[in-house]
Amino acid sequence: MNRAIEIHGLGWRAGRSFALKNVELSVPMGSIYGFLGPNGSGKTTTIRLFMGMMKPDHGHIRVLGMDVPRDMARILARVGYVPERPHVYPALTVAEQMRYHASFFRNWDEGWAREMMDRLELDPDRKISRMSKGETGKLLMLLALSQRPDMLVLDEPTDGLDPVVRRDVLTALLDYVGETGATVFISSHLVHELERICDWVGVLDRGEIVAELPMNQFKNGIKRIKVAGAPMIPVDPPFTILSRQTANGNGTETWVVRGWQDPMRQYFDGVGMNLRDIVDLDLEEGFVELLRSSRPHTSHRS
Amino acid sequence: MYQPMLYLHWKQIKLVLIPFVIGSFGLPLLTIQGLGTNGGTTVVEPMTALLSAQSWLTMYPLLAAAVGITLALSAWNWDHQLDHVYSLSLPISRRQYAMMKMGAGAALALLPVAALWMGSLVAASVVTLPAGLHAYPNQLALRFLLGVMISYATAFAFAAGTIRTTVIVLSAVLLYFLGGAAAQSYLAVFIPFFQHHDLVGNTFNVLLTTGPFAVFTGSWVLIDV
Amino acid sequence: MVAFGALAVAAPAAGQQTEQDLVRRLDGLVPQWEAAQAANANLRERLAREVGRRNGAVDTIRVGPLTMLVRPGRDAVARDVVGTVWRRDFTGWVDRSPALERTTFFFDWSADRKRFDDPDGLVRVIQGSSHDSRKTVEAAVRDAVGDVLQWDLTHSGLADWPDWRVYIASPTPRARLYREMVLSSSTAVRSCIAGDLPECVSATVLKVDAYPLDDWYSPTERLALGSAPYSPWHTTESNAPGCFRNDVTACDAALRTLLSPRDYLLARPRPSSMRGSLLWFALQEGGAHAWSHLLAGPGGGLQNTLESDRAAEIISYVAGEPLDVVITKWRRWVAEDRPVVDAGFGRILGVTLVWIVLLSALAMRSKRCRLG
Repeated sequence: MNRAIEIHGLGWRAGRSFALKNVELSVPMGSIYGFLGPNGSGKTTTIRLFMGMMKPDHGHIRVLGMDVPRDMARILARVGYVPERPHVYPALTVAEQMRYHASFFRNWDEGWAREMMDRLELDPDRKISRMSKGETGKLLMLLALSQRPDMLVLDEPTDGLDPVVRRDVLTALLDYVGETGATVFISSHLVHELERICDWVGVLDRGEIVAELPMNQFKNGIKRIKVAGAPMIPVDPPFTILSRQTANGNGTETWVVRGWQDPMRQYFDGVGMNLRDIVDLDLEEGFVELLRSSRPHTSHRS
Repeated sequence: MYQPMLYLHWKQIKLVLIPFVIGSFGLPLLTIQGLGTNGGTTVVEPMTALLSAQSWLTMYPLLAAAVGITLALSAWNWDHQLDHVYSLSLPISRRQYAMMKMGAGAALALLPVAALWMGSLVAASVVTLPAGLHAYPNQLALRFLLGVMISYATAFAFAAGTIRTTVIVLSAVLLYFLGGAAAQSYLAVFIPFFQHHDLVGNTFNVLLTTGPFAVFTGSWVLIDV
Repeated sequence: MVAFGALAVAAPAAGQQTEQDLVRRLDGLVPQWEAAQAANANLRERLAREVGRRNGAVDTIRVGPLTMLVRPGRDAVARDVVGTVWRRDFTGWVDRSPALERTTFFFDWSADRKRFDDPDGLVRVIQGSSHDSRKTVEAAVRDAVGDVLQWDLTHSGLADWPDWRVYIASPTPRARLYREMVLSSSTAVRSCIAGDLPECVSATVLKVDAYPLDDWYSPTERLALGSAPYSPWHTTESNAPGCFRNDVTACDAALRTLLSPRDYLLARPRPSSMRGSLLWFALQEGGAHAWSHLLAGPGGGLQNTLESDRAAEIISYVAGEPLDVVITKWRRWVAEDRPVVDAGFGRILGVTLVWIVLLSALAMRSKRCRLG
């Protein structure tokens, strides 16, 4: 499978407080890849590393089949980037910023940009420093999309936006992706937002990738089950137990498991346990359980 | 790409640059103030005229340095404020980006230079100088151009680097001159070589004559013999 | 000349004799006087050599008329340096100098330079350390020789008027003199450098019949001089109120009262270095015997001449040309080296451009990976 982003053994350290440790990441071409992680987990750092803005301590990065940072200029010509914080020049007007931005991108679609500007209700004569956060967010998306990129890298693009603006921005994004089949790498801690649009998900926590899989596997594979007669150490479960919780002292336990598939029900009969209930978790619950399980000091049994 | 970058820099600096342009045009006119114009009657003695003109002498290099440094710092100001994230996301090599940015600032630097040249030409054409004195508008403008450009290039080079690089370079220079002078006077007590060789002083002299700021050591005169 | 000098000594005793007898008797003393002079010079030289020996100088060399004491093994260097200076700066116009002939120099350009002990000042010392460049040492030799040359003028009228004496060996550089003349507070000097020859004669004080304030300065300049804080007249609002009220007539009158005509040189136009420059130029024009001509002078010497109209005559005599020709040539010679405002600018331009390119190249090294 072609990969839009391939990262192997990526390491980067900032003093003693934070480090990315051997990050492995593989973003399929044409996918909408949700990059999840709590605040401070290293999402923005990872993005800046593969955008060539920072130098990794070790590891290899390829974006759109080209080396980072050697081919950075060619890579960026095909990448639309919306950073975590607004990064455009505050003294320019919308139209001036668009002109400035357009001059760097050969594929810039002026007609489309104007249409987007109308659709997103952006005033071309408005100074960026006087724009609201929502308007700035829309402008950033407009700039990223109008350059007709093969890949969009969006770092918390909707963070802090009101629901209406968020909808506008995501609609514009999805329209573009639907039209061009571009790859989208979107980082967010707003899990439910990614749940709707992403087909791949990668989870980063404390500088480490803790999961990377198709969204449907992630969503369907995490279940909360109630079992009775569970031993202290279950024998070779075909799924991963993320957490165990004893319920009401009646001998039943609540497990959060990952990698669940329906035929696995038979496993319980074979080891003398009784499967009482299976509950679907939404992405956010699954995400939380995943993070809880990945952290070394979290107890699996309470 | 260059044109929008030029416009961007202009937009950023215009409120500061316009006063610089006006000042550059006006300074030569101030220099000849009181010397008597073609329509006026006052013609002063050469020495008085020269002293009057020279009282403005220090303003020219100061203005050149101010223009150069302001333009250089403003070139990177917004990028520094935005942590360079936007500029680094543009599909252009860093060298090309820096080159275009430098070119844009250099082009804008020509505005005050041209204004000073114009002002000098106007001043030279309207003033009635005592016999033996001459006006040198072209030489002054050329010197001003060099002064602006070298200040601009120096400040630009520092601003293009990281704060860490700037601190290292400036500390090294400071250490050499201050620490070196102290070390030299200490060593001179024990080592005769240092009694006869003023390494720090010589370095300073070499810098003055062949260093980046040599142009500031010359004579910045609009009026002279 | 000898007879003339002796006449002055013997004058009181010659009261009742005829002039012819007196001259005959005095001429008879000349050989004895010359012998005494030679013995004196000889003694002086021997003493000087003794001083030199005490200070480690054992060799004596002669370069032209110059007698040089040098340390062992340093004679070649001394001949080279002193010979270069003498040939380049003096042979063209100094044929004979009594002062140089009776002076012993000590030349020392070495690493182990020591203080020269000479309490009686018998030896003229020229010293340079190993850190001094040849140019510096040559300049020291030129200044020392030039300084001694001035002793020839000690008993002449020139002694009282340093304007004429200074810088005999190293005249003020032309460019500087040009600048000073253009910026002079005297109309006459400015007109001179602009090419007005009569004004040059007036400005250089070559012909002075009266108190020529009007020739030297314009009314405005006289008012300015009269009201200047450090004017030679020591004017104040009480002793020269006209100068402070811009009343030229009253100011002139006050100035004439405050400074007697005999003291006019105090108010002479500046720069004073132009007079030294003119004398130096006349000496160069005069060629090999110019110095002798200056010492002899038309009519028997320089005594009491340069404060009168004889100065013009002497300059002309020394140069061997009519005064107008000397002045014209001198003015042209000074004006030829009019200061260039952008002198050295080509080098500065080059240096600055190189630095701009260098700094630009440094700026281009700005790194992409700059965050974090």
